[in-house]
Formats: sequence, structure tokens, C-alpha cells
Amino acid sequence: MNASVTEPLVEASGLGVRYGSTEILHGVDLTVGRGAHLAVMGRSGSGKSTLLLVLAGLLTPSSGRVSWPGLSSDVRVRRGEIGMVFQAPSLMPELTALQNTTLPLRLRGLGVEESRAASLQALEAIGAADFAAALPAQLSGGQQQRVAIARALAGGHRLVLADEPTGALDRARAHQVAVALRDGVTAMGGGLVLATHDPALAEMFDERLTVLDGDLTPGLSA
Amino acid sequence: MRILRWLVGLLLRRPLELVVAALSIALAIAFVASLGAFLEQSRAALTTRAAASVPVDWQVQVTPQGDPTTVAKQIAGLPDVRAVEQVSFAHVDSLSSRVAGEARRTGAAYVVEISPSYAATFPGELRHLLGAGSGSMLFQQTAANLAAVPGDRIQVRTATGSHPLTVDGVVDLPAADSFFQVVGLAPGAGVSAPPDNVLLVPPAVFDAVTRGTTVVRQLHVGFSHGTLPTDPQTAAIAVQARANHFQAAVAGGALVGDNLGTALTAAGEDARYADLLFLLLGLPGFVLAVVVATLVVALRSDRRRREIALLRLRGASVTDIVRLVAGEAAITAALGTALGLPLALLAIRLALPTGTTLPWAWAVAATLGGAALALLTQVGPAARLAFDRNSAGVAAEAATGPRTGTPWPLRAGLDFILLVGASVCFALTARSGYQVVLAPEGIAQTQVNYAALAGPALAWPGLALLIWRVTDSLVGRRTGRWSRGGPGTAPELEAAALRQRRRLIARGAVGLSVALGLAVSTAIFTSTYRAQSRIDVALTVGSDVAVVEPPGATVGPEGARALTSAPGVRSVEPLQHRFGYVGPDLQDFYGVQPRSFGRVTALQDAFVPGSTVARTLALMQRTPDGVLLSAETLHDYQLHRGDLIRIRLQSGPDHAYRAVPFHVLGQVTEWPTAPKDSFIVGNADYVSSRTGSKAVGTFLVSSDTPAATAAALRSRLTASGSGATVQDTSSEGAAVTSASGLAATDLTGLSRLILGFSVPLALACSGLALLGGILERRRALVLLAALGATARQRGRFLAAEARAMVVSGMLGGAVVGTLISYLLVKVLNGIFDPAPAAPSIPWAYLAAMLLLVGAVTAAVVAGVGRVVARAGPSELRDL
Repeated sequence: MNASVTEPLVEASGLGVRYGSTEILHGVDLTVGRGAHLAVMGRSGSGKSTLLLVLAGLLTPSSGRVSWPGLSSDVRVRRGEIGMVFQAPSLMPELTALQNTTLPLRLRGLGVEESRAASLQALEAIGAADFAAALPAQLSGGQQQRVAIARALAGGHRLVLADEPTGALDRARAHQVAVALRDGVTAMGGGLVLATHDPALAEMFDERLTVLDGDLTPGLSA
Repeated sequence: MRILRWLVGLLLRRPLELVVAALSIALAIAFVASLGAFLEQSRAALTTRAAASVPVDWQVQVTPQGDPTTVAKQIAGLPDVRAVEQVSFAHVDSLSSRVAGEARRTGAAYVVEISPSYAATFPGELRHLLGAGSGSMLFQQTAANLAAVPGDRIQVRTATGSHPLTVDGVVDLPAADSFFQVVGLAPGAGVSAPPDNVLLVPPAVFDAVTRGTTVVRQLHVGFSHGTLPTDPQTAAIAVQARANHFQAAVAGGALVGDNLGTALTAAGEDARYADLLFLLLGLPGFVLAVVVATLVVALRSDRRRREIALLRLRGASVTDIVRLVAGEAAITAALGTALGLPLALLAIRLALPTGTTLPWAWAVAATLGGAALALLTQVGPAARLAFDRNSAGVAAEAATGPRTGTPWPLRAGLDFILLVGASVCFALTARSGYQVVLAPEGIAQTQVNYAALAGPALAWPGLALLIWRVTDSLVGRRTGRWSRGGPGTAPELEAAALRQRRRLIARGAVGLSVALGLAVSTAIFTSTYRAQSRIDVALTVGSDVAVVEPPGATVGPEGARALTSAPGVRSVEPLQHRFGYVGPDLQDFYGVQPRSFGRVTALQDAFVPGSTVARTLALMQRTPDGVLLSAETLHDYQLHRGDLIRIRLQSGPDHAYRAVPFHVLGQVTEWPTAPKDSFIVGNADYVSSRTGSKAVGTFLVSSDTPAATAAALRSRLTASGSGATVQDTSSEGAAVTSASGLAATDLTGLSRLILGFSVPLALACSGLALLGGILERRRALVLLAALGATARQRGRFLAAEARAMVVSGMLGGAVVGTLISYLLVKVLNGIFDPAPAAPSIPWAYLAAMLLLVGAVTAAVVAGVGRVVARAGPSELRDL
């Protein structure tokens, strides 16, 4: 499958992943290019999260290969070029919303003020600026997830991989956040892959794929 | 079934957490069990030593109404009787001699009848010095008074006339105090100063030389000690009850001088010191072990809170939750016991004397304690949360972060309250002269002034809470603004994370402080004790080696020349030993050369209160007729510095006591070879000139190799037939005990246990606390990895936490150790003999301990942090 391949960011070919004797993915071909907005559908346990982890370079596939032609060949640099939003709100419990958003930028070597400005902008964009000073424990699940999305946007990542990021939000808020995420990635000139089981949300995206029995098929087949 | 699934899941998913918790329980179990073994062993050793130290267990005196045959039959019917010997005492007017045409005569004397087998039956009573080992024998001081040697003729003068006999030998009576006790007084009260003049004769001679005198008959009894209770106080009570029973049975026909009961009563006092050591050193260690176990479990409490909250949200009842957690606690306790008891056996084998066993009662108690600890630390918090009916609160718990609030003891200022209380208690103890163990005269039951322990008991928790407050405050204020941070680092975020985790960090720092404090205070205390024990041995012997001339010897200071050529000898110093009367009181008199005496022996400033050794010796040099007196003498005779005092010393060829004028220079509490009670120290040259005798009692020899020097001197002196005896510190060391009577081996066992356990406890506090913290932060570390943080960047977050915990813990440990060791040395002053002038600090041990803690911390952070933060498929899916 080729998603807007004008400038490929990540290419997967013949991708297969096994957990023990269970085959999660097999023979997956996928290219995600700059400016692409791709929704990946599928049932729970179908392999959506696994596909995203492989595309992020966090999980080594059992077969096939993944390459990142549009990203740095240096693994450390590339990690910073890929933003992840996880299924559950994944924030450092000891850091405030703003500090959590700042964290990847600081790890990539940006200065304190520069990181802070970018983070506040991202929180503003996602409607989370009001609780920038709050700790995760003081936030609802939805608020935490918006902070996690702001963290992915603030980083200026070239490729953002979001794993069911709106699962904890109500429908209206989910739509709002998904739009903000899509627009934010567009503004950064990056590519976005979003895993979801919500067809309405998937409809917002340019391209839609479905993971079915370990294969990727075009459209909303689930 | 659900419980089983939970437990299997726990074992499969978090085996490391389970093992860590079980290890902390195992440490607590092993520590308690081995401390119990120490207590039992030390009590049994004290009983054995006390019983073995008594030459004659009972001196049964037949009263005028009693019949010796009947009394002897009653004794034979007592249980565990090993030996019985008849001894008779007669008081005679004097003994006299004529040696080389010169007549000598003593004052009143004792003639004692003993059988030829007595010395073999009760070997502790007689020490053979010269001539035959049986027959008519003179006490060494009497022999000196009469200038008699074996083969000389002496006269025993009674009201009926003079009775001649030939001296066969000269003996010492090492236990003369109890041998000549007044039987029938309260236990221990009958012991009196031994007579100066004693003649021991066989039964065949006794009647002939004591004709016309009143004879007191005694039966000396020895028991088998194998059946005595192991606790000395219990044994003392049992022996005294046996004596009471016997006295009731003979119905006034005999009185018992219960030497065994008296010795066991004294040992009971020592046992109280052992109990105090257990309380002051062992109990904090036990509490620490409990704290470590609690800390380890508490470090998982945040995760536990989330788990319980989720279980509640999914409909689990309180009973279900308690059952699940109780099952987990049971596994922890079982694993802890399985590891703890073998660990206790290993500790006992390594730390305590050979043959020490693990008492089953202590093994059971430790196991039950471990199980209770596992249940309380795990089920308690879980039940508390499970009983919380506030569903909103429970939901919030599911996503909560670490707690940052100030715990109530700090809000209430409990640390300051406890420390003020400790200071007040310590001041009160100091005012009472640190009297901790009280032994009222004549009462078997010793009493412990437990109020004196309140100082250390309040200081421990007070200091621990203060360290919590200080660490919490310092970590809470950290901003990271001044931290070194290059590109890719985020010191301000590390500091922010620290601030939020400050309660956990403070808890770990407190545990580490207390563990290090325990190790430091124990090390300083035992090191001081050992140093004082060495001084005690050196004081008893006099120097590294001592050559003691036989009674009546006239070897002068020039005799030192013959000793200097022995191997290892650095210098030889004569120490004059005489007897002198202060008023009616006979005291040992030591004549020294002040200019050179310090070369051969370690004198401490504490020996001369109100002055220093250097100043005192210089003063003696300037004042030839100056003497140092004991506090008792100064007080009893109302003497002050500069006062003239006339001391009667034996002088010249006639050995008659003549008054010699001296001037009081000051007080002396200890002196090489001097007894514990009153004695006098003066200038040897002055004494020689005024008494006309240069005779030296002892030559003190400083040596690099005391044992070798002593062996060489022994063989040389034996060959010359001088009769001098040689003592050295290496062979005397085992025999000399402290004032408390606790042999050095006892304290060594306890200190080995505490030092041995404080190492794993300190490591547990730093290593396990960090490990638990890392496990707790596993999700955060995986998240950091997923966000692109390198291993080094992840390590910085952990290292910041480790640094804060370890630095606070080490500084806190130094403070706790220093203060507690000061309190211990002061409160347990009675255990030291002599009292230490300053604590002795074992720098090497402390440095090794700190290095070990630092190394383990670094290893945990570097190794475990890397492993735990590894982002595998399952960890990433958990995000």
C-alpha cells in the first residue's frame, strides 16, 4: 500500500510479526509519505498497535524489512523525528502537563525556553493550555491523552504514529482532537498514521486501511 | 480459583518484585533468629564461665550446734555433688622465724588444715610457688614477712605455747578473699580482706600446732555444673534455693558460704549488660530490618493502590481483594522463611562461637514475626484502600502519581519532640553517673535502670524523622537550575521528577541513614570496647610482657639488664611492688621511675583525673616524696593535694613496718598491675632510699612480639632457677574480661552479627529501595525509551534519584552513627574497664562500608535500570 508517496518517510515491505506461535502481521507492504494522513482500522488484537510500533522502529519485525528513507539514518536522531501517541495516556507521573510536553524536545537538545514555547503552542492547539501546570494525577483520562497528543505535536516530528489516541474521549472531543492532530501534523509537514476502530474518525483521513487477518487491505473492511 | 490465577500471574509477571519482598522478610527473620541465638549463647557462656571461675562452690561451716558427720551426710545427699573436702581454721597469736640469726615475728595468723588431696580437688584455691606442693606451706606474703623459704623452721605461737614446724613450700591463695570469708552473712557480703599471715598444714600437724585454740570447721563442696540453668540469674536463684533447702535440712547445724550463687548473681548482672546490648544495638537492628521490609513493600504501594483500585472498579469485593493480597503475602512469607532460616544458620556459624545453635523457640518466633510482617505490610494498606467506599477516590487512585504530602509525624514536629526528650533523658542519666545496671548488695536479682535507655531509644526515631524532614526539604527545593546539563539533558525536569518523588527518596534515605548509623555506632562502640579491653589486658599484665619476681626476692633495678637481650625487647622498666599501711589499711604500693616509666606501658589521661599523665609524671619527677592515691583513700582519710601523709612501709633488713613521710600529689584510678581497689603510686628511688631496699617486684617489658619474648624469658628464667614468673598480653588476653565480665568474644559475636547484617540492611536500603523505585518507574522508563531517550538519558533520571537518596543517607548515617555511638559509650560506661577517654573509630571498616553502598547503588542504577527500561513488545503494549 502506498500512502502519498511523493516523499516517502517510512517504507515497509513483506512485513511479518510473530509473538511466539501467533502470527500478528504477515506480508504487509506499506509506504507513508510526507503529508500523508492514514487511518488504520481493525478489531482489537488485529495488529494495529504492532504495526505502529514496527513503523516507529520500536519493534523489530520477524520478517520483511522497514526503512525510513525520509528520516535520519541515525537511530537516535530518527527516534526524535517520530512522535508516538499511545493507546492509554502515557505521561510521566512526576511531571506537569507542560513538562511532559517539553520532555522529548529537551531530550533532543532544544533549549529550555525554545522547548517551553513550542510546548505551550502545542497545548494551546489541542485545547490543553489551561491545565499546563497540572500533574497527570490531577487530570482526567481525556485531558491526559490531549497532553500526550500535544507532546507528539510539539516535537515537530516528521512522522506521527497515534495508537487509538481518542479512545478515552467522548465523540465530540475525539473529533476535535483528531482534527487538531491532523492539522498539526499537516502544519509540520509530516505524515500521520492513526490507528482507530472508530469508522467516523477514520472518515476524516485521506486514506484508510484495514488490518484483517494480519494483512492490510484498502478501505474500511472491518 | 481467582486467587490461584492472581498468584500464578504474579509469579510469572513479577517474580523479581516477589523475590525482593521475600528477601527483605528473610533478612528480618535471619536477624531476629541469630540475635536470639546470641542471647541464649551469651547467657549460657556467662553461666558456664561464672561457675568455672569459682574454686569452691560452697563453704559449709559447721556451727557449734552442728555435727560435722551429720552435715557431711546431708551434703552427700544433695544432687550433683562432685567433691567434698574438710577444711579447718584456727586463729593463732603469731608466727615467728629466725633466719640467719635474725628473729622475725608476724601479727595474728591463720593456721588452716587441708588434706593432701585438696589442691587437686579445688585447683583454683592454691597456686604452688616454691618447694613442695603439700605438707606445711606458707602464704607468699607470710613467707616474705618471715623471710622464710622451704626447709626453714618456724614457730606457731598460741596461748598454750610455741609449736615448731618446718616449711615445706610457699603458695599463693588466688581466691583468698572468698577462702577466708565470714560464712553466714548475706551472699557476697562475707567476703573480706584476706589475712596477711597464713599457714597451711596437713591434718596430721593441725591438732598439734593449734592446741588450745578455737577451731572453725568447714566442708568445701564442689558441684557438677552441667545441670545448671543456662540463664545465670535463674541458675543463681536455683543454687541459692538449694542452699536454703540444705540449711533448713541441717536445722542450724551449718551455714553456707555460697560462692557459686554469688558468682552466678554477678554473672546475672553481666547478663543484664548482654540484654542491654541486645536492646541498644540489636533492637534498632531488628526495627531496621522491619523498616527495610516495610520500605520494600511500600515502594510497591503506588502500583498496589492502582491494582486495588482497578479491582474495585471491576467489582471485586473487599474480601476478594484481601484474600488476593493475603495469598501474595503468604507466598512472600513462605519464601522469606525458606531463605531466612538458612541465612540465620549461616550467620550463627560465621559470627558466633563454635557450637552455638539456633534455639527452636527463636526460630519459631522469627518465622511467625516474618509472616506477621509480610501480612501487616502488604494486607494492611490493601485492606485500608479496599475498605474505602468512595468510588470517586478509588477511580482517582487508578491514575495517581507518587504522594508528595508531608507525613503527619513531621507535621506534628515529632522529630523535634523526640530529640528534646532524648536530650533530657540523657542529661538525667548523666547526672546519675550512668548507673544503668544496679546490683544491690546481697540480692540475687539485678536491676536495670531502663529509664537510662530512654535517651538512645528516643534519639533513634527522632534522628530518623529529622533526616526525613531535611531530605524532603532539600530535595523539594531542588530546581536543577544549577545542575550541569549539556545538550540532550533536562536537569530542570530531573529536578521536577525528584521533587515529586521526594517522599520516596526521603524514605529510602532514612532507611539508609539508620542502617549506616547502626553500622557506624556498632563499629565505633565495639572498636572502643576492644581498645579498652586491650588496655585492660595491658593493665593487668603491666606491659607487653611482665617478669614477676618471687616473694622475698631482692633483685634490684639492675636486674633489667639481664632481660634486655631477649628477642623483641624494646625496653625494660622496673616496677617496685611493696605493701604499705595508710592508717590501718594495707594497700599495694607501686614505686616507679617517672622519667622513663611511660616507655613500657600505655598510660591514659583518664587514669589521673584532673590532670594528664605527662603532667603527673613530671610532677612526680619534681617531687621525690610525692604519691598518688586512690579516690577512696583521699576521701576516707580527708587528704588533699600537698598534704603530708605517713605511710608505713616494710624497710631494711628486719622487714619491719616503719612510717615514711610522703606528700599527696593527686588521684590515680588505674595503674599497670594495680588492683581495682585502693593502691599507692610513688617514686621508686625515694622508697628505696627510705626503706633501705632496692627490691623490685616486677620488670615491665615492652616488646614487638610479646609471646616470643615471654617464651624466651620463661626458658631463660627457668634455667636460672630464679622462681620468677613471666606473663604476656597475648596469653593473658583470653583470660582478662572487662568490668562487666563480658568476655571480648561475646561482644565480638554480637558486633559481628550486627555489622554483618547492617551491611545487607544498608545495601537493602539503598539497593532494594532503588530497585523497587526502578521497578515502580518501569512504565516511565519504557515511555522515556519510546520517546527517544537514550540509555544515558534514562540513566540520568535514575541517577539523580539515587544520588539524592545515597548522599542524604550517607550524611544522615554519619550523623546518626556519631550521636548514637556517643550515647552508647556514655550510657554503657559500666561495660568499659577502664572508661575510654575518647571513642575509637574504625575508619577502614567505615570507608569500606560507604564504598560498598556507593558501588551497589551505581550497579543497581546502571544494570537494573538498563534492563528494566528495555522496551520489549509486552512493555510497549502496556503503554
